[in-house]
Amino acid sequence: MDRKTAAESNVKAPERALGDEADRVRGRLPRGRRRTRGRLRSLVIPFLAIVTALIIGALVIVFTDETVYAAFGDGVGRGVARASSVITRAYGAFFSGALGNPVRIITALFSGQGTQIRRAIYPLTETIRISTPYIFAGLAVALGFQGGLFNIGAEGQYFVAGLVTVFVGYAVTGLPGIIHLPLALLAGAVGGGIWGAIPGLLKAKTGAHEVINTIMMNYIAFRLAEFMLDANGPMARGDGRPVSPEIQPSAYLPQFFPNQIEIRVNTGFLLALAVAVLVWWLLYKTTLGYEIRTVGANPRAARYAGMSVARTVVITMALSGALAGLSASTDILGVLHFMPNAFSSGYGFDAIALALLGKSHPFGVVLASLLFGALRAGAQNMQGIAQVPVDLTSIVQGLIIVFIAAPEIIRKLYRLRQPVASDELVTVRGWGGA
Amino acid sequence: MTLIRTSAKAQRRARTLGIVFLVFAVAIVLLFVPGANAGQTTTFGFNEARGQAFVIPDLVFPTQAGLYLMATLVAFAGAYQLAHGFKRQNVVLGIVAGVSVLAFLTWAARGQSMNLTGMLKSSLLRAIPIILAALSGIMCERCGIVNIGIEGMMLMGAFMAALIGSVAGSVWVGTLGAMLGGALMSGLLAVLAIKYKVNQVVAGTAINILATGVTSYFSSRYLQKYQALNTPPTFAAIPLPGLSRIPIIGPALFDHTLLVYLTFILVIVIQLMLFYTRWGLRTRAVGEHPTPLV
Amino acid sequence: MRKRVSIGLVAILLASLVLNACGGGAASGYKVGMVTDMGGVDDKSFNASGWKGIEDAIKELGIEGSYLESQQQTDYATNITQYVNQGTNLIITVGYMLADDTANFAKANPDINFAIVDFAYDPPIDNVRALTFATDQASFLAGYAAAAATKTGKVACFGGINIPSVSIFMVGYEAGVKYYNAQHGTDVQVLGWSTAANNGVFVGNFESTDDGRRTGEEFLAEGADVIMAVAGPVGQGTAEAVQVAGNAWFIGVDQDWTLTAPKYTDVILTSVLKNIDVAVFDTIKLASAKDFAGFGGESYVGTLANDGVGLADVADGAIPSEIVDELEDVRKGIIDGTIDSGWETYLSGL
Repeated sequence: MDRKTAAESNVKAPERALGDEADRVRGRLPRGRRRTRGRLRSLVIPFLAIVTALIIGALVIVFTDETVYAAFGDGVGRGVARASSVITRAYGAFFSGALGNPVRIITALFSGQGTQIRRAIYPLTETIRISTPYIFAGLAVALGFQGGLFNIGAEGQYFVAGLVTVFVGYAVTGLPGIIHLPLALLAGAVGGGIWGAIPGLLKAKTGAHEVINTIMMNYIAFRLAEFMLDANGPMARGDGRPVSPEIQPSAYLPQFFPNQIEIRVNTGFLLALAVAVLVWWLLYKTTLGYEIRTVGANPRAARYAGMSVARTVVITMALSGALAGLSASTDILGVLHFMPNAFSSGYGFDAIALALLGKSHPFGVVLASLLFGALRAGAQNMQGIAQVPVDLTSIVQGLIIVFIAAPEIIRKLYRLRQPVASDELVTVRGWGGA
Repeated sequence: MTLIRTSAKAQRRARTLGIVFLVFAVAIVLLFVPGANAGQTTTFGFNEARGQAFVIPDLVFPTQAGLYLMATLVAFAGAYQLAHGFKRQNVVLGIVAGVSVLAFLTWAARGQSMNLTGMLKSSLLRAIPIILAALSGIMCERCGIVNIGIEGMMLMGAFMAALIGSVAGSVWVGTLGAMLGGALMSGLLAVLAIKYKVNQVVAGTAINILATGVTSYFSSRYLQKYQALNTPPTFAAIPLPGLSRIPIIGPALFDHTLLVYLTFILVIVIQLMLFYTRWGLRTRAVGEHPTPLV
Repeated sequence: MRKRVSIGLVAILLASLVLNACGGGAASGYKVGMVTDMGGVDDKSFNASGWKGIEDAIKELGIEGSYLESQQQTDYATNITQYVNQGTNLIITVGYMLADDTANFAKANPDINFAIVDFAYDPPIDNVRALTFATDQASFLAGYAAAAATKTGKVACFGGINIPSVSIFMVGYEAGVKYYNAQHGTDVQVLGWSTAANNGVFVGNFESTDDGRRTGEEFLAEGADVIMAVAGPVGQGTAEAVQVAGNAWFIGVDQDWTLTAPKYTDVILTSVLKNIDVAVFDTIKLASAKDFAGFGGESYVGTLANDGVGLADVADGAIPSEIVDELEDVRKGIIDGTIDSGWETYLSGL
């Protein structure tokens, strides 16, 4: 998708916005000759953005480490040595927690020992495991963006889908896995879908803004979950804890390493990849997808072309909610096998970041989710080994978003040439859209 | 009763409203009445421990009878609305909503007592940060900025208030720190949006994530270790002489800290600034339609 | 030039990836790891208290100790795995939310010892020591003191979430007030909990100081002048409300609030101590001993008798000195079983 270039930024702001609009429609047409070169080039900025964010993260670690100051007190040389050892330790732990230690993986593979290999590849499996719900949630927000809708309600849809999934998981018994598992997944998708469709319906019927209504639906979902899973609530396990009963094994998502409890990567990841392809196919290869994108780009034009904007809005929100719901389903059916009262922690919000990073493209979202998964897995390891607070990930994530959204900063920093055509983010219009 | 000529749309709305009222009445009977035992009473208190000009006796009534009365009231409103239609629909809607909330409170306070004045007071207190954040939102909306980074600005403000307030040992310096923290984040939003042409939603999201990270990182690195950095002084309540002794509204409205009163004033000031000053006109004009001004 | 610098930095980053293995230091000492729940180690409540136990053990027993914070439910297993892979000898998990993961890992790693705070398995697991607390015994004393201190004849309490480790405080508190009424012929009322109705006031979380403040204000408005908050940091808001209102007392729980929240000292009547640090220290001492042969499913119950729970000093002048003496008698009565602190009776009545 080719977009306005920063070089043309002397164009006045509002005209630019209109141009953007027009370009968005035009941008869908394939532009073969620019594609290959553009793709390679478009990888440079994200890569440098990540590296720069990590460098700033390293500076934060060093500047907040008291041993470094103490070492500088003994002399500059010692200070520098201490600082670099602090960074090496922290980032060593970070990378080996996110991707695994290559040396260790290779030696483990050569040794041929099961335990060795499992421990060596464990970090990678964690990254993938953490990415799985991110992919679904990111796709949910991205699909909304494509349809010009801002779904802030992924968190609430996640909760409701969790409740429905876990209920089907534990209350339905005696089914074979081949029926029970899809049923539980479907239940989650439907639950999240309904929760998403309500704000969509309100928007279509009354024009009520989806941002407000998805936020409100979030609160309803939180309190609903709190009520259902209260220690004495209708869905409580009954052992005095505010958690649901365990789901039936027939509803488990198959694990890759079924006998290893520490490796929790499961087929949910494959499902996520499949769904990403499905969303891509839906958006770019079907009539419905075309309608969604057209309504997103220009609802007036869509109406003029004879599309039902209201219907598309409801469908988009329902699909978006269903995707968000699947992130909860995979967490419950693949990892937790029950639902606790305090369930998700900021997936809905991270999902917005993922959709933005992934430029609202399904495959972009997958890559962004893998990145966030790696950051989280790495930070968890860094906390254990280098005692660096896990919250460093949020700083790095925020910086990555800033740098990718403002490539100008990166270009200035690294003296890159202005590209002929650069990518910019697909975003929603203002609050009052449609 | 004069017949007002109404459009089909208004008629439909009137009918829907009537049905909604009836649904409310049924909901009160179905949801709340079964929870109350025959002998239970509900007590609503109106007096603050601090004392006021005169004491209002507690309102004590049987829970079930009270609930039935409220349900009847709401049902009557619904029936009248369907049959004749109220002229002031919104007022009636407000009353029905109020009665329904009261029914909920009656149910919640069955067999015990509940202090309505205390509840009003703490409702207002809890509303203050939301009001201030909403004012921030209004300013942005009016000049056409989509600011979803308010959360991040509040976080940074809270962090700075705690840190600087503790170090300086002064509520005012702490407040300044909070303003500085918020301004820092919104400055970042401005730079990103204006200089680097980042979409405002993207920048806002980045700010929220960044602020969460920065505040929790520094808090676990420093504030946790050095508790002295996280013990800011707090504003003391200043009851307004006279006014605070009026029953019910006195404690609810006029027995607060300076920040609460400042919030009241700010609401008025911002209203005046936006609608009665040249700056306000320009701001709104930019928000409505920027092109002619560029 | 700049470009070269940045390439250099990238090279350093990549080098650190390859060079650094586990980094955890291969010391031969006894390793203890604590996994917190989502409250984090700075919650001024049970995570903080548990960590204090490990810090004490580091100082006195010379063990190696560290903690891992969890941000999500799915982090618990990740963190336990990290400790398992680091060859940790004793893994302490804090809170009922970790019960399932702790059980799974304990069963899969019989050679590693575990301890879990605030949860007991039925049947017990061989290599897990359950650390639970008869806090009703201590809060019974607090209720007795509160009933003696009140001037309005109303005392209050509220909890975070309605779970046994919270409601046990409130059951004991009410029982203590009732015992005082029986002894002194008074009629002090308890707001916020009723054992008979098995219901009480819960704010629904362990985080929001705002909720604590609001709940405190509501209780004050209803005429209560002693408030106990069983909700971790939520109580700070309540203490604040009590301090602002004046003429009232606050009762802290878990740790001695005059030490952890000294700015409220003037309104802290007393604190119900749940000495998780003592239990954690005791467990580390037991497990790190040379002749340690496994927990064998044994569990630890903190009581007044073993100082696992207790009552902090009551504020000077808040209650008459003869009541202070009576508190000592009541304490002895609870220890020797002549006074019923309420929890067992409550459980059997469910």
